Order: sequence, then structure tokens, then C-alpha cells
Amino acid sequence: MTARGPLIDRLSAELTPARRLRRTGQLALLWLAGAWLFTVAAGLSVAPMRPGFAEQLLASPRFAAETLLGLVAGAVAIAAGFRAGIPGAGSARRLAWGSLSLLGAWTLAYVYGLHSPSLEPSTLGARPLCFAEVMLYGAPLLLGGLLLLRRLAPLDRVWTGAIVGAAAGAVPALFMELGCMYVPAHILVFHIAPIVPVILLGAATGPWLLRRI
Amino acid sequence: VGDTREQEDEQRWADWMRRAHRGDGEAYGRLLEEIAVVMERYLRRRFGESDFVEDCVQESLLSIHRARESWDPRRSFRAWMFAIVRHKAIDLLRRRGTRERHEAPPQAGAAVASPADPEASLHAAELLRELPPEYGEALILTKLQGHTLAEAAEHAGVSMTAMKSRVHRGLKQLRALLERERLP
Repeated sequence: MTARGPLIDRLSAELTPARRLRRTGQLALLWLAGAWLFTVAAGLSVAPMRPGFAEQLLASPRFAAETLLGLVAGAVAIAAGFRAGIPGAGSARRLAWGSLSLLGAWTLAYVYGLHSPSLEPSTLGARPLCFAEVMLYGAPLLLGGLLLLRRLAPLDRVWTGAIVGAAAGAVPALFMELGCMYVPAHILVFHIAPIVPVILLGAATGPWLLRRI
Repeated sequence: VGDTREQEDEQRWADWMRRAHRGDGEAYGRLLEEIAVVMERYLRRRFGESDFVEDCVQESLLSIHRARESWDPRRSFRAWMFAIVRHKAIDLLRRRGTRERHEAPPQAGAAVASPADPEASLHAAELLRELPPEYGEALILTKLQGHTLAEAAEHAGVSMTAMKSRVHRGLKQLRALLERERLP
């Protein structure tokens, strides 16, 4: 005689109706909208955007492509994070690797920019605290993502935390591409590199903040 | 025939789970009873006869209960359920067999239980047979039969460090095998 029977009786007796589950795509869009609103509001409260960034986007297709790459990398990362909250959703791992590849490609675009920048390098719009800003804005975005994920059931909480961290770091990093000075070496060290601590923070806090199932 | 049966199972389980989402405890109880049998069969085939199987079934039932809101009726119930079962199997194996950290070593002259034949256990466990034999043996001795690392190392004629490494690598390969496996 195993304890399985009484366990099933107990679980059936304590069953309560489930709350409606949003689609993971909707959750990702909700998070992205909140993340951009927060980042833009917080960023503008510290310093204005780089003068002429909109004209640069229109005038330089390569700069626009770099920007789009960062935008897509963050969006795919958060989609992967929420998809990882659904056990057996086969595409979660593929999306996660896809987002990491996009982040890698985004980084490589600036490495290439060291030799051939897409815009004329300039210190116009320099923000003295851009490195700290990426991490400071990334941390609450990470927390928000992990709290939204608490209703789901990610099986690998370290991995899920890390991928949400990648998304949370990518949004303020991309904001800095438009809000801070355009010098590829500066972007690599002060905007892209701080994504790594946010990823590590996600990996470290994921097991604490996400539900163990 | 197998596909038809799987489709029927899928429809029935999904229907019960949808009712469970609305708070129908009776449908939920029937679902848990039926999938517990399926999980047990799945685990026995892969890990052989062991207490581990019943422990894993019960842990999986608890996990399914905790994660029940994450099942999306637009997705396969079967894929959702087996993802949880596989995860629990590895999780439980990792947590088992840490006796060397908590128990004092046997005193001199005390009788130490001789490990049951790991070869026989290996033969019964489909999944463990796919591992290199030394890894399968290490997992059976430490994780399924509950021997300490020292006892397992003595049985296998290797050092404790080597046994610890075999267990670690065995678990890693086991996880990869389970993730690669097609949905049963």
C-alpha cells in the first residue's frame, strides 16, 4: 500500500479553480511595454537623449539595423523567458539560444564598428553614469519579469532567471545607444558589458524568486 | 493503434484538466489516478524496480498540482506532464544518495550491507543501459540502491573521488538522454 491514494485524495480535495492564464506572448508584450516606459522615464529623468538620434536612425541604415538588432534581441529574450515558464513548450530553449545569438550578433556589430563605425564617433550626448544606469534600470526590470513569471512553472529556474536578465539588461543598453554618445568602444564597455551582471543577477535570483514546482 | 490511443488519452486528460481548472475535484482525482499509473510505467521502464519510482511518481503528482495553472489548454497536456516528470526524475536523483554528508561512517567491525547486483538492476532499466556502464552502475548504487559513495566506490574498486565524478557525469548524461527522448 503506497501513500499515492491519500495523496491524490488530498490534492483533489484542496483543488481550487485556476486563474485565467495569459498567453506567454501577451506577457512578453506587457513586460516590454512596461520596461520601455520605465527605462525611458528613468533615463530622461537623469539626462536628455542624444541630440539628433532620430535623424541618425533615418540617415544611417546600418545604425538603424544595429538598433533593430538590439530591440529584437531583447524581445526574443523575454519571449523565451516567459515560454520557459510553460513545461514542455519545446520552443523555449530554441528561442533562448536565438536571443543569445542575437545579443552576440549585436555585440559583434559594435566590434566591427571599432574599425568601421556606422556613425561618425562623437562624445555628443555623453552620460556620465551610463554604465551604472544600465544595471540600475535592468535590476527592477528583471524583478518585474521574475514576478510576472511566478504564476508560471519554469523547470530550470537558473536558466530562466538568466534569460530574463538578458532581456532586462538589453532594454536599458539599447536605450543608451540612442541616449548616450556613439563611440563603439564606449558602447561595448559601458552599455553592452553591463548586461552580463544583470544576466548573472537573474541566474542568482531566479531560484529564489521563481516558484519551485 | 498506438497513435490513436495516445490521442484518446490526450483528449481525455485535457478534458479532465480543463474541468479541474474550473474546480472539478472529481475530474482532477480521476486524472491524477490515471496519469500516476502512466508515470509509474514510464519510470519503471527507464529506471527499473526501485523505491525511487514511487517517490518520483508522488513528487511528480505534487509538482503537477503546484504547476497546474501553467498548463495552457491550447497546448499538449502530454508534453506538459512528461516535461514535469522528467524534470522531477533528475531533480530527485540529484537530491538522493547524499548519505556521506549526513551520516557517520560505519564503525569498525560493523556489518555493511553488500550492494545488490547492479548488473541486474541495469538490465531492468532501459535508460540507464544507454549510459556508459560505469556511470549506470554508479547511479544505481548511490541513487537507486541508496549506498554511500564510500560503499559504492568500494564495490566498484575505485576511489571516492572517481565515484563522485562518475555520479556527476552520469546524472548529466541522463538529463541529456531524457531531454532528447521522444515523447512517450
